[in-house]
Amino acid sequence: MNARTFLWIAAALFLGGALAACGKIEAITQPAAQSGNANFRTYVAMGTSITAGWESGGLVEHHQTKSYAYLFAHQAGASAFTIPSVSADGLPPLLRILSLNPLFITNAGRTPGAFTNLGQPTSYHNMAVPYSTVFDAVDSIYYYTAIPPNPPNPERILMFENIARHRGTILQQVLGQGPTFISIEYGSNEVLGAASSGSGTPLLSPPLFDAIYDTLMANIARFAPQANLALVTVPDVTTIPFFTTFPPYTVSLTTGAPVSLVGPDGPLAPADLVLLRAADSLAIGTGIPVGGYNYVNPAAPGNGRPLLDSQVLNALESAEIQSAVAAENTTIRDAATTAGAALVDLNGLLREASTTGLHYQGHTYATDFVTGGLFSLDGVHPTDLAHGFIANLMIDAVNAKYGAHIPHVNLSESATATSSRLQPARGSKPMPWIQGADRLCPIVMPGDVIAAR
Amino acid sequence: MRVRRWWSWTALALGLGIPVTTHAAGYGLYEAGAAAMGMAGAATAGIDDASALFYNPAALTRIVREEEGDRRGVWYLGGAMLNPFTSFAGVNPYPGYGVTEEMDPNVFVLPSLFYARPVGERWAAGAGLYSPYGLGVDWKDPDTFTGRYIVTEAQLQVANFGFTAAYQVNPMVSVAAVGNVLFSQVQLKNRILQPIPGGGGAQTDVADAKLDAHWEPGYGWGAAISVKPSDQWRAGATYRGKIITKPSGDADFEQILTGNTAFDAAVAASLPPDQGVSTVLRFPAIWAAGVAWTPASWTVEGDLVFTEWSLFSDLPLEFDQTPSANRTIVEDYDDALAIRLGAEHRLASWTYRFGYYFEQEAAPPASVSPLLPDTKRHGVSLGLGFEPWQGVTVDVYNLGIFTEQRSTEGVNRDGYDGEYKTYVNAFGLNVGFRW
Repeated sequence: MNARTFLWIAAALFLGGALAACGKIEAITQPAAQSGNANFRTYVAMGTSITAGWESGGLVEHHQTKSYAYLFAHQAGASAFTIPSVSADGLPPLLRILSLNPLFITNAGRTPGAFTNLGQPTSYHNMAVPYSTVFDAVDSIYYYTAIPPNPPNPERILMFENIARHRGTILQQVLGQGPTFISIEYGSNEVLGAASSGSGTPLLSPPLFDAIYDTLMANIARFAPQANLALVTVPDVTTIPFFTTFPPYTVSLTTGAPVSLVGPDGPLAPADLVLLRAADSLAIGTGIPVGGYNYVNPAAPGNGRPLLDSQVLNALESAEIQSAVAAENTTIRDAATTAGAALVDLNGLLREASTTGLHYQGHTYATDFVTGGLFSLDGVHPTDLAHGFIANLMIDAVNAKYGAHIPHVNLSESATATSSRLQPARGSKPMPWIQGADRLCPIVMPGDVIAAR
Repeated sequence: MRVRRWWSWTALALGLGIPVTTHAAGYGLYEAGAAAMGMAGAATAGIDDASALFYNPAALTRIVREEEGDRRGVWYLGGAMLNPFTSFAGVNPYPGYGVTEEMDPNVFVLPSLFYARPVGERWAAGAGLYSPYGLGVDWKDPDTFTGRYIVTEAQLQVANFGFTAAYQVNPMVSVAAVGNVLFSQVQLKNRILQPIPGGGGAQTDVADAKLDAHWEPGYGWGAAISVKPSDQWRAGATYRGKIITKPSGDADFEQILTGNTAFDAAVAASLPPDQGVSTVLRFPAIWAAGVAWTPASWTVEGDLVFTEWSLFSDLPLEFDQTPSANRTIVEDYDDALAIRLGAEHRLASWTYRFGYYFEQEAAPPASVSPLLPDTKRHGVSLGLGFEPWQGVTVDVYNLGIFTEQRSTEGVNRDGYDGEYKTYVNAFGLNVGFRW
């Protein structure tokens, strides 16, 4: 062999190896759902505003189609999943941020949307009705009228008018569809309605909740014995931003020492919760002791006037609410065991979110208001991304219970750039869109206390 | 400071500031000599050139005395070109089915320089410069790469200076001791993303982070034995001890403006300042043992190589000014075994070689990430040897490394799940001569 031959062979070796390079990996397509022992052909969801996809103070189609129930139906391969869709800017019009510092959130200036498929001749697959309790699932007596002794709640009635549509009870409409799979999410409004008004007394006592829930389950077992079930536990509502954003204390402007806010019964205790609905009062100095720093609106000095009882959930009331949640969840867990249903532990997911946080795309999402990424601008309802987490929780529970193989939800398709506007993040670089923020807020510091209206 | 800078410049001047990509398990590299790699690295027993300083330094007592009475040194100079291609396909929940990513195609150069000479009747001494470890990661389109919050670009560069003294105990047995000075530096780039305030959970890019640790030496030792029980059999074993370095450097954070003044101001307030950063790099111990059969014009060898990758537990990043920004990239690697088989046929005017190796993966599924998409490897090599002039040899090889497609099995620590596919082509050339 001479040098020339050697070089030719060497070059051939190199080129042959380089050209042998394998091609790029092929994209993985989402596998079709395998139903295992369950049947997802006709999936119907029952529940509250959470299941309905309510975000930032209203219903709008863009978020309704991001609800965990909608996502689950899509992933499980349900034949259809109709919803009582609402056009932009939502019903009621969704809240939006007008400025970050001071935080100003409002739906003023937005156009109310309208229900767009009222002509659907059949009941909706998503039969979740905002404001509904488990009592409403089985009884229509309060759908279109006030719940005594309270005055009528037009928003509540509006929801029943356009979702239940005088077609019978929610349960009747669910059973009428011949469901093969039903998810049930009740219990939040029983406690949230009370807690968000500063009361520790749930709308339904735990024994009553237990009795009605059993009735609901018995009727499903009797009239839809073929249906597989997923039961969703009740989150501890006292850990959501509506209750945790405002601390019950501030600092003295003269000494810098911590001083308690002023509640209906005097200085607030460290475990008392100041509700997000107190924002307007705090903004004018009410609830702030004289000489105390107003963390909502530093320009308004504390006037020493007390917050209203409905603006504070004291420690005792908070404990009562947590006790009621625990009792409701005992009912739901027992029902799941009895019915052989999948248990979707939403309570545990919120606990994880409020302690260690939920992880996505390298970031730890928390329950902080506005900045946490999991709660929409009303401080109560989940964001689109949070619905993705809930959907995956439900998928895991159903897969485990029924031996199914439902693929997880793609969280990058769930996550959207805003919880108040029709601006999906996918397809373009998501940019923060905060109307007027450039003009109104020169700076916002992480950890600043923020106010909502 | 002055001493460290001198060492750094020395390493750079020797040409080892060139990124390499890993293609043994973890971030290991086995490409130290062209003749050995023509046999897929099966050379612990039968190595026959000065790259023995890496493969089995005890064999140097035999190699430097191939010509009776010769007192000249043996050189073996060259390097390898590595051409890797890695791609990724995502699954739910992130980055999602249908998503594919790929690294930019790059060609990396890996020098290997060895010298050995006899000392007295039974001793041999040698020195060498090579890279037993390295990593090069460069994901395409860093502005849109779905794993950019983990890494967009990473380089681990290693320059190992090895010094050895080998002693011929008797005509059958030689032993050697090795001292290693390993210089390493690491660079990591990634994006910092933040959820949009009041948004539906989506994130936006708010900063580029670059961590650049400077060259830092670490020290280790090794030992080897070479046995020649008969003319047709050779055996050998080597141990290369672990080395841990603690390089420090700079962390730079460059904000990416989003266009929203308030949000940008909040991001600016929360970003750490540019500052010093330090880390710990762990280079595991390697055990190798092999047996070679050398009937007439053939050499056939089989080796086992065991690497203690369990040393690579994590990659800590400690910041000088903002300890709250410290983070530890957990790796929890497992030890990995490789089997290497090779053959050489010496003809009248040239030699050809071929080989195959298989190596276990070191990374558990949770650690398979865009930073280190580690997986099982199968390597197939072909090599040639040629003597253009008396006393001068030229060896070339080409090694194709086919990795098994590896899934993160839905448990990646960074929440970035899918499958990786890598192909690496390595082409090497070394020139050996006596001088």
